[in-house]
Amino acid sequence: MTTASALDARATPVRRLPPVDWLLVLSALAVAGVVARATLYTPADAMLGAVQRLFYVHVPSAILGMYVACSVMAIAGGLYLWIKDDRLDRIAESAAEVGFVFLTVVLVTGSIWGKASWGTYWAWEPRLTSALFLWFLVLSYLVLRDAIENREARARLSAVLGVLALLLVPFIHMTVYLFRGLHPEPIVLKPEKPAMSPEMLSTFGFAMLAFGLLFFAMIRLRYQWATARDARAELEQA
Amino acid sequence: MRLALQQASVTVAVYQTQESAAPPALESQESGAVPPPQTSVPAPERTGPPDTVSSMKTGYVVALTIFLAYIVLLMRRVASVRKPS
Amino acid sequence: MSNLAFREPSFIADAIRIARKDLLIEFRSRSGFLSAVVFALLSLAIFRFSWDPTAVRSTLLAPGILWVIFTFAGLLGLNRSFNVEQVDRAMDALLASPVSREAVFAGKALGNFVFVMAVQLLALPTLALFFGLPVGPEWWGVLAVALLAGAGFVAVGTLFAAVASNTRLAEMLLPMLALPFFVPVLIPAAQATSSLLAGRPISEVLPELKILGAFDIVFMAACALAFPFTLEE
Repeated sequence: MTTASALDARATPVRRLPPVDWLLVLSALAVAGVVARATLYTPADAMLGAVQRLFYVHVPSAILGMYVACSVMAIAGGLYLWIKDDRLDRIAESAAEVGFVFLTVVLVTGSIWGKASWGTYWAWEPRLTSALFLWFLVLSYLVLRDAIENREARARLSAVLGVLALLLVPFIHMTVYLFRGLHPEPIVLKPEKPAMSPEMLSTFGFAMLAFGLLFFAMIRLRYQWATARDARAELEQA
Repeated sequence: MRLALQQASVTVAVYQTQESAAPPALESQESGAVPPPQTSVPAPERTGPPDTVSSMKTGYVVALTIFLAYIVLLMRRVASVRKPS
Repeated sequence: MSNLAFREPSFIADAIRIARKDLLIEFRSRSGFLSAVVFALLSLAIFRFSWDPTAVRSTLLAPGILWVIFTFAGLLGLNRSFNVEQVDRAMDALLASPVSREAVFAGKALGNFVFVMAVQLLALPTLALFFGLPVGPEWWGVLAVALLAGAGFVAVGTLFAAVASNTRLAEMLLPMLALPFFVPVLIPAAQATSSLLAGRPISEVLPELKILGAFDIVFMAACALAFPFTLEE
C-alpha cells in the first residue's frame, strides 16, 4: 500500500498541483463575502457592541481548529500506526499545521474581543487556558516533526504524540475547571450564548461554511504539497 | 473663556459617555457573580468609552492577515517544489 | 506470551531487572542523581531569596515552587534514561533480549520513578526547612500526592524521553513535548499540596487525587502501549 501510494505520487506530483487552486480561490471569495456580510449587514450585539461581530470568525475558527483539526490529527496518526500508509501521515501533518493557523486566529481574535469586552487581553479562564494548552500541544507536534529527518520515524513518532494528545485533552479540561473552582472569577467571562437573531444565525451559518471551505482548501493544498515534496525527495534519493 | 467652557463641556461629555457606555457591558456580565473580586486579573480599568468598532476591525484585519500569510507560505512552498532542481 | 511464561522471566521480574540495571549505573556514576539533587536544592535556595515573606505566605508559595523544581529536576533524570542506552547502541542489545518492549518501558519508568522520588525525598525536608513550613502529619498526605504525581510524571516522561532520544534536538525537545502532558499532574499536585499544608484534611483534596489517579491509570497504560512504536522496527 505504501509503495503504491508512493508510486502514484511519483508519477503525478506536478499534475496534482494545478497552477491555480480554484477551491482556495472560491473559499477566499466566500470568506470575503462572509466578512462583508458580518461587518456591514448583520446587526451587532446590543450589549457588547460591534466587537461581537468577531464571533463570526472566532467561533468557526475554534470549532475547526480545536475540534476538527485536532481530531483529524489524532485519528490519522492512530490509523497510521496501524496500517502505515504515508498518506495518513500527510493528512495528520496537514491537519496539524492548518489547525495551528486556525488556533492562532482563535487566540488572537479572542484576545482582541476580550480586551474590548472584559478589559483585558488575557484571563486565566478555563476555556482560554485549555485553548492555549491545545495551541502549545499542536506547536510541539509541529516542532517534533521538524526535528526528525527520517520520514518513517517522523511519521511514527509524531503519530504517537498525536494519539496521546487526544487522551490528554479531557484531562486538561478537568484540570483547568478544577483550577477555576479554587479561584473564582468575579466575571462570567464568556457571555452566555445569546439568543441570536435570525440574521445573526444565518451569518453564522454562512461563516461556518466559508471558513470550513477555507479550512478544507488549505488542508488539501498542504496535503498536495506534502505529496509532491515527498515524491521529489524520493526521486532525489533514487 | 468660551474656549475653556467648550473644553469643559467636552470633558463632561467624555465622562458622560464613559459612564453611560462603559459600565453596562460589565455590569450585565457581573450581575450573576456574587463573590468579591478575588482574582489575579486586575479589575478592568477603562480610560475611555469602549471603542468596539475599532476592535472589531483590528480583529478581522489580524485574523485575515494570518490566513493570508499562511496561504502565501503555502504558495511559496508549492512554487519551490514545482521548480526543477 | 502466556504460553512462554514458564520459560521466560515474567514481565514484572524483567521490569525490575531493567530498573535495577539503570539505578545501578546511576549509583555507580552518581553524576545524574547528584546534579539533579544539587539543582533542586540550589533552586529552592534561590527561590527562597527571591521571596518576600511579608507579601505572600510561605504555605501559598512553597507548593508551586516545589512542583516546578520537581518537574525540572525530573526532566534531568528522564533525559539520561535513554541517553544511557545510546552509548554503544546498548538499546539494540536490550531489544534483542527476550524481554517484551512493554517490560522495557516499565523498567525504565520504574527506574525513573525511583530517581524522581529520591530527589523529591531530599527536596521536601529542604523545602520545609527553607520556607519555615510547619512539620506535622500533613506531610504524609503530601507524600501520597508526590507518589501519585510521580507515577504519572514518569509514565509520560519516560515515553517522551524515548521519543526525544530519536530526534536531532533530544534534550531540547523533551521539555517541550512533555510539559503540556505534565499540566494535569502538576496543577492538581500543587493545589493538593497547598491545601494539605494549610492544614486541610485529606478528604478536601479528593478531587485532585482523583485526577492524579485517573491520569496515572490512563497514561501508564497508554504509554506502555505506545512505547513499542517509539522504537525502530
